Amino acid sequence: MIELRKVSYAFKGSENDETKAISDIDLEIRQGEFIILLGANGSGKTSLLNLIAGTLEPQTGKIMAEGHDITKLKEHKRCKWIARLFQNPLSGTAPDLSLLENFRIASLRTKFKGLKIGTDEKFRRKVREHVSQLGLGLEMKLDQAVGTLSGGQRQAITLSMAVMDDAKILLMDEPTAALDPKTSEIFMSLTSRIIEERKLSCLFITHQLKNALKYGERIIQLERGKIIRDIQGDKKSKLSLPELFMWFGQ
Amino acid sequence: MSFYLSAVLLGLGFAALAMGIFITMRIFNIPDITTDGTFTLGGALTAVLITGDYSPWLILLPVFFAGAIAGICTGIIHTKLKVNALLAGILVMTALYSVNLGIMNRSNIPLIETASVFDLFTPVLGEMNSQILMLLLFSVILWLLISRLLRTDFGLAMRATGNNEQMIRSMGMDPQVMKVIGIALANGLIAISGFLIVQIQGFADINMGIGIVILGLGSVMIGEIFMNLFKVRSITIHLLGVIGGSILFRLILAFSLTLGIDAIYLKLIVALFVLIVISIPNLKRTK
Repeated sequence: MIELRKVSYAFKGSENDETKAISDIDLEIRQGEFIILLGANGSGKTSLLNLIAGTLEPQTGKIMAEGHDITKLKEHKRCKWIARLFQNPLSGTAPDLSLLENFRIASLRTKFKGLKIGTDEKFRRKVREHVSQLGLGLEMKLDQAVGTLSGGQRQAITLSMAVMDDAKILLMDEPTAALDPKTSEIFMSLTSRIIEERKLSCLFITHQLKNALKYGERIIQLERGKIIRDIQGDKKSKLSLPELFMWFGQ
Repeated sequence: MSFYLSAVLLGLGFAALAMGIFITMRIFNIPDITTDGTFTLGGALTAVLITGDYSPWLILLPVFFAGAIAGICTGIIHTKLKVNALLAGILVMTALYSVNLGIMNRSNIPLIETASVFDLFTPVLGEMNSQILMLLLFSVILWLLISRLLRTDFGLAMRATGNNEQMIRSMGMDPQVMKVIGIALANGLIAISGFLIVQIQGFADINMGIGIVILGLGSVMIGEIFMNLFKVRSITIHLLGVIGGSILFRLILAFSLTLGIDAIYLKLIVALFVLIVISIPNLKRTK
């Protein structure tokens, strides 16, 4: 699905190997795979996501999506395959636009945004149904400005918007970091349900080890821009919290 | 009475400018000073072409596109050359001063006994009524066009660009392209405002654009006071408020002149007035 071959990236002014943000990474993300990405601060997790999304361009190596070489493709051209959620729950939505209008833009993620008024009754019904699946009662607030909603609600909307169109992979950078424990739990189960239902691949950065254990079928640990652990299937489900904790202790 | 009526007419003439400023300032969060130059550009082209015996209707679109091209220059300087938006606007505005002088070939062109778009209904309604009707028609048509555009899929993407660039990038659009299109559209509207004002006042002047951006800003702000008062969220009504703001602004200026304030101080009054309108919401917030 998405494949990284010998991808390296160093921030400007740090050309030597020691400070490479990402160093010669090979990674294959298969269709429908929910991958947890662990690593200490500065280990290169966000850089890895940025490389896949196209925010950063690798200095060496190749990035492929469904057989296409997308290494040089700009961020807004990759969204055919890739949808993204950020740590800041506010960064995925336009606050002054209504819920309905935000969803309209999302529904055209990979399509041309033309001179048609697309927020008609038919679309409203579609969004109402789509949003009601979140179970947050947001279907009653379709005409409300998104900026008036809470961070948790906005993050859930961003997730819901991301899967409105048919993206293949979700990149999530600590999407629950700014949410309270309860909202965070609701959001996590929502995420895993949506990923499963829509057979999406997901690369999920988290610092919450409990979530790392509970969700996903593959777990990858980064350290200094390299993959130092890659555990999947049965071995992943047998991991324990103290064991995970030890990964960071050495 | 006709004193206030002419204030209303000027307000309608400036409505296109106010809508242009609404697009750059409110939708894209860009303070676009190109305005001072494009307003004069629209006026200069209109005066030169009308005195050259071109039909005023024929020149409407070219005037719009001339303004849009100036906007594209500012937009590209800002997005591609990464120059601060304010500075990009000042650069293009400065360059436009020479361009406008070049177009006009002198600093003032009077329009005496020339054709104007306001003549259309003169045979039926008389000169004054025809002018009122035409200005109303212009404002309403532009209002409907722009508010419709802003509700289309493209318009939504434009509004989201000013709101959240990161989002629009992950939604498959290039925010830089959106900005250039937005600034171009705004300056096209501003040039149309110059086109109308020149025909209302009967002359074009090289200095007619000085400080005009503040006028548009003031109109947008006055409109917003009412929008906040009535908690309006519809973009269509919001734009109507901007047009209303433009008229109200003119009426307030006319009123202050009747109080006996010397016309020399008009710009000072405008600046003070806009300052008050801008700072009221901020003062409330700090309480």
